[in-house]
Amino acid sequence: MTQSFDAQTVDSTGVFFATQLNRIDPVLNTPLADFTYARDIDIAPLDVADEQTSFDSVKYAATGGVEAAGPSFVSSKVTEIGTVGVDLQRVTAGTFLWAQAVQKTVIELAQAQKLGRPLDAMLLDAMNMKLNVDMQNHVYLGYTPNAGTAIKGLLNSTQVTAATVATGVGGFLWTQKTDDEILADINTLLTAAWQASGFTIMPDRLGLPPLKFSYLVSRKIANQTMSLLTYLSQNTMANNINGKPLDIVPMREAVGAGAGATDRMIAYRKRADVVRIPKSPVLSVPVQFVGLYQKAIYYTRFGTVEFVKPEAVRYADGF
Amino acid sequence: MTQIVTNSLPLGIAGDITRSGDGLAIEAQTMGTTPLTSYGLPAKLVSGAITGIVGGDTADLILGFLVRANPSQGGNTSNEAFGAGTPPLAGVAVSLLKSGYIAVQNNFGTPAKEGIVYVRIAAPSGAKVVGGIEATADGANTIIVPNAAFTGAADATGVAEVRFNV
Repeated sequence: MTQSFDAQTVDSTGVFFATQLNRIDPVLNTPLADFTYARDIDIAPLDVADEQTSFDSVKYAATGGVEAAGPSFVSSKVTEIGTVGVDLQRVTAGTFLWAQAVQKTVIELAQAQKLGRPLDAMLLDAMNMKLNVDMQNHVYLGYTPNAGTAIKGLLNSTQVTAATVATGVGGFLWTQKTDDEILADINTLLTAAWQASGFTIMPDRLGLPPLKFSYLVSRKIANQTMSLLTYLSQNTMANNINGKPLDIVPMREAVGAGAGATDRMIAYRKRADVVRIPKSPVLSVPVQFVGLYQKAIYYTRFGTVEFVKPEAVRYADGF
Repeated sequence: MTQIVTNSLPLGIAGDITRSGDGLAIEAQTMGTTPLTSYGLPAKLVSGAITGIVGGDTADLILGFLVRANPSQGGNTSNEAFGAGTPPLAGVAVSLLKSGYIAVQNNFGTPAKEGIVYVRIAAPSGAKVVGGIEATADGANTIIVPNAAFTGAADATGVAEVRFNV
């Protein structure tokens, strides 16, 4: 019996395959996925051979004049003039080798070719999607091995100060707060990072859980002229210091990332000298032919999210 | 099974060889009267053809796991949903994994790393079908797949990876 995809077509009327009178949309509908790590963090160079990454920071010191800690004012015949000194620190982090095999037999390939379905392209796309899924999780939340220390990401670093938002008149949730209270929550967060960085770095990006983002888009300010989101992006500290509106973006990993599994928002300056993740280019070994199989291994190396200036990053929870 | 990907991918499709190393797969003939109904199921040999594990079977009969070829014509007469691929019917050569790693559908229990792999041989109920893989012992109703272990937890669709004869 010839196989058919529809039992009714088998035994009668000269139509044997469902496809004979079936218009098939040739478009292959691929999985829906959105990866935002490339938007939210800078990628630093890494080689696949690097087992660790590190960066050096330098601290300056200078001995003053009359008072050692005071200004370097001296007298005209002085012989003992204060000197400057430098001290370096190196921060090291581990890396993770990543590999995925793409394999198919030549028979599967031939059959896919006859079907008009590009098997190798689909497998490659699946490989890329796994890479993106892993990278997305790694960037935002890090990685918790079965044993050993958990590696932290952009949203859960122990180097970053986290605080709970202030309680408003109606409560601490944004749904219970006035526009001014929400504005104050964000300004408090931005100012805290600005202050911690010695008033040098004002965050330019605010990451919110997607439903909180959606809430700000839906809610209008009192005079109904714009959404609260637009108002906030233009009227927080960030616009006044940086000269550009605050980039408010949804981050799905921020849901429940705060203390006690509350929602978390993150304010930071997206700049490679503030926070970044090293990652090597994706490489592959030449296709290996083993029997009927064609195997290709793709590999790369992930670094760990590096907070070069953790002071310029700040979390606020429970809003 | 959904097509939406957020922060994880399914770990495999039942019957897929999941590792690229030197796994061992041999050809086998499916049995006409009682072919295996899903990919990734353990199989035994009866009169030169493979069929599923049924009541009264013992662990030593388990020869291997049915490997999924993709794309290939299946044995179903209707369109197939995700994860519902049916092996071809009688007379078709299929691949049987004798040694290696394979994705299987776990019907019951929580697979854990190095966890024992069970096959149900009696008292089916709901998803717990005879001949299907489970992660929890059920007295005389399950047998242990020899030289096999789960490599970790199952994904959201119940697919887990099994190491067999490695």
